[in-house]
Amino acid sequence: MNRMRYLRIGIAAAILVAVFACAIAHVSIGTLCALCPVGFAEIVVASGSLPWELLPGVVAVLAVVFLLGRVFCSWVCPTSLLKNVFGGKTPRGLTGRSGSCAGCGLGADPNEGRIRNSLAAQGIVLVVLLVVSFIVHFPVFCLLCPIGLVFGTLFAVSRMFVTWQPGWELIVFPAILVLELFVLRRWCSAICPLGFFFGLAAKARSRVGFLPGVRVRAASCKHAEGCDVCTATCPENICAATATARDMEDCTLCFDCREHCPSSAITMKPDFATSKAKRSVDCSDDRDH
Amino acid sequence: MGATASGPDARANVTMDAAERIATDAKADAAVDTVEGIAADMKALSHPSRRQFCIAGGAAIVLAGTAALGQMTHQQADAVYVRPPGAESEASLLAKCDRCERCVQACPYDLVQPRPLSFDIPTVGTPEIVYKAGFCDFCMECVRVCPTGALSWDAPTVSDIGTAKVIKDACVAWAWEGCRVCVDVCPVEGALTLDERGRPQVNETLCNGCGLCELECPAPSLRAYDAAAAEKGIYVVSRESAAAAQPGALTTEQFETGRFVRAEGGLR
Repeated sequence: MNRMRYLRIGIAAAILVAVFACAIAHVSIGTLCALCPVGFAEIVVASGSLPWELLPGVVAVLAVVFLLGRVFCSWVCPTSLLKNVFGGKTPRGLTGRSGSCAGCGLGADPNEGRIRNSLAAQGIVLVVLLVVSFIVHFPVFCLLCPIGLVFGTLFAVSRMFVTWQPGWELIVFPAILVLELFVLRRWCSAICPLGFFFGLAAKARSRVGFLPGVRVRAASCKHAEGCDVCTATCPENICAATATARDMEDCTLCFDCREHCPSSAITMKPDFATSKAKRSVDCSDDRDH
Repeated sequence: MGATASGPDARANVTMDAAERIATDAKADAAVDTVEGIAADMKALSHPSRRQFCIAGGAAIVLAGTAALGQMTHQQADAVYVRPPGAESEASLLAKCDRCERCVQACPYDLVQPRPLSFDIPTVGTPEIVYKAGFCDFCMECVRVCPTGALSWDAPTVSDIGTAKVIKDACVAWAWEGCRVCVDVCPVEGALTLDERGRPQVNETLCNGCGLCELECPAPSLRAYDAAAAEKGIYVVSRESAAAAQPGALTTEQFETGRFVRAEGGLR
């Protein structure tokens, strides 16, 4: 059960452990902040200089999102790690979590009522924080970023082993994290400015169309008979059977749907015929109202 | 799992829906990759719904609030810290550092540590030097790995991160004579010498703030604990601090009030 979830927890946790181990072994791989597109943009506006050495990492992350999809969100991001460990996504999962799905029901298209990732909201957040960073001359979002707070807590612990003086951040950082992830549940889909960059990369990706992604074998899919397992398991509530290209932009390739699909109808194969039929430009008709 | 409704009607709806969808998709497909398609995306971006606007607006207010609070505390604190080599100034380090902690990981002596959360909120997580586990031999690993330019090779601090200050009422040699540990360990010729009364004195132009004296100072083990006196007899402080601006040895009070405070007219 939930093999994929445990695998995701394992990989994201391994990254945290690796970063912590590197702090002890003095290998300077840095935290994920060394790959952050938002951090890059903030430094540019806050300092008026271009941090060239950040660029390769940032471009690499965006290239990975373009080629593989938003894998960062479900497999790497410490935020998802916390959500996977402690729950906290509204309608999610067959077991353990609520297990219900808002738009489900025979004859209904779950994707119609789905709350989508809001590139517009994330974009507004990004613009505001760049303006604010420009005014106050420091990267503001780094103080609030849940990824930074997870690593901040980690490094506060490693600092404690050197100075033997615990800091307030050991309490304050986790408290802010709880607020962001478990109270503001729309953090990832509507606030996270990193999601704006990933959303753009995913948009570009969906225009190419043939890149690997979650696809459904129409022959074995039981959606027409009322099966909504993929929607119920999907963290983004995507119904794989009826998903348009716009819906698949929100897919983080967590593979929960693939694991739970009762008829094994979900594949990763680049299927030109299906992708062609599924491509559409309904992005203008943003149903997130 | 949903799927409670059943019967021929519902099933017919499904087929209808599917047929319609394929038709719309096919129509829409023609427009894919056209200018209109991209324009539609941009339109969706520039005309968010009210709900999106509320979420983003709320988040933006929180962001701006944090920034304002941070800025306020930062100005109020007007603090200076001993930073790793290559930090041009407090302002430039703060503007460029994204707290990736690569310098912290790179330091072979556990000297570079992320700043704890303090009243000076924006500096949390930025690197500072803590002489608890070692001293700086200017190996430059931190500067080499810094990806943001917050630590750069051009800054004057690449070979000078601060200056040592003797604390009169904590230094053993000031009380009894005889202790010369800091003078003996100092790796910089002439930076630490004994005056005519056998007390250590710092030549602040030669001292580069390596911190070996602070690390090795035996005062805590030679003196009875006294809450009113500093723990060690010698400390490294930032050259921009009020403590560094006062000539000669300091009292514990001068040291503690001026250690992290910017000197009058200091460089920002």
